[in-house]
Amino acid sequence: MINKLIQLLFIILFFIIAGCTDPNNKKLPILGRKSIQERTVNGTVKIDTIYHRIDDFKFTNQDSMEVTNNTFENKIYVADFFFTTCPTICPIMKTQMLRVYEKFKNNDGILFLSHTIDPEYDTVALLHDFAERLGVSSKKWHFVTGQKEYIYEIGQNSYMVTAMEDENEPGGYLHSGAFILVDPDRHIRGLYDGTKEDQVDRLISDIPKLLSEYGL
Amino acid sequence: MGYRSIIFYVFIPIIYLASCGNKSGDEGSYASKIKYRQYFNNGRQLYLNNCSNCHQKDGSGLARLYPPIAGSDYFRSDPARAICIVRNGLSGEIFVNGISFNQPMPGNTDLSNLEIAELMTYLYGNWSEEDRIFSPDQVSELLRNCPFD
Repeated sequence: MINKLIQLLFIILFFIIAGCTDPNNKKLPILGRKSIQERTVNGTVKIDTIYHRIDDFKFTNQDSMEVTNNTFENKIYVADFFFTTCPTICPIMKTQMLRVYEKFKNNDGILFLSHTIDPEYDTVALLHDFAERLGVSSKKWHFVTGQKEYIYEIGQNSYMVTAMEDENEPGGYLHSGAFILVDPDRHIRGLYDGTKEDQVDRLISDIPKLLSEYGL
Repeated sequence: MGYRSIIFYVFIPIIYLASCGNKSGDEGSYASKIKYRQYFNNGRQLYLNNCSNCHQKDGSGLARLYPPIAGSDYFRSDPARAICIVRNGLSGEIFVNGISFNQPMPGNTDLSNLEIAELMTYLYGNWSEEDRIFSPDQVSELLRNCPFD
């Protein structure tokens, strides 16, 4: 009797543990504010959940090529905000992003997008030099520039990160060190602190999950 | 082994060693070793706080963007120049171990001469062939001769 009870207990325990520890079954969440929209189809009311999406954008990359949402069609991408002369967190971010890049550079399903928040200084030529010295391919990793207000706005409203001028900060800008993981439907699926090695490790382990969700 | 030989082989050397510890010259070198360790350790902390973002914790630099300090000919060959760069920063192209780098480096104007001395002691002790201690006086002397001060 007691033996059977113990057996049963072990079986239950096994299922609990097996159920909890399979991370591949767990989809990455869709981040950002959700809204509920009602619409009437053939007289019945349907309720849709509208998820936060990245706005339309159009920037210029280090090769003077136009970069838009279409550039990332059927791809996932990792975005961040930086400037080339930033003395504080950007070098760490670039060190960490390079780690992610090196891991996935041969995977066609993923791209990288770095926005400069100092477009007056970071010209196309300068971004080109920066990317080349970092040793990364412009097909894989876009360094983009554009109108300053426009970059700040898309950072704030689409990617949910802070980017603004602040003369009290070393280098003159206040900005977040976030890496933002975006899916092909323009949803944000992960936010990571690009200055922390363990969070970037998490990004590296989340990317394959998102790739396989979209069959990439 | 006889009783006498124990005295000879064990106690005599102990007395000999103990007596040389009292010589004043060795006390001086002990003190300077302590001072060196102190400079080195403070220098490491300063390096981690002010330099390692770009030059990396191990001094290896990042690609062709931020030059290495470890094993760098540019650094090792001219400590006076290195001290000026630590304080005043640098812009324009430089060649380190034959490789071009062209990323502006901001100066560290809030580091004191003592802190720069500690930092330089760490950099030299860690990443060049020779251990040497830099003094604050030496640093202030060298800073006076910086080209772009």
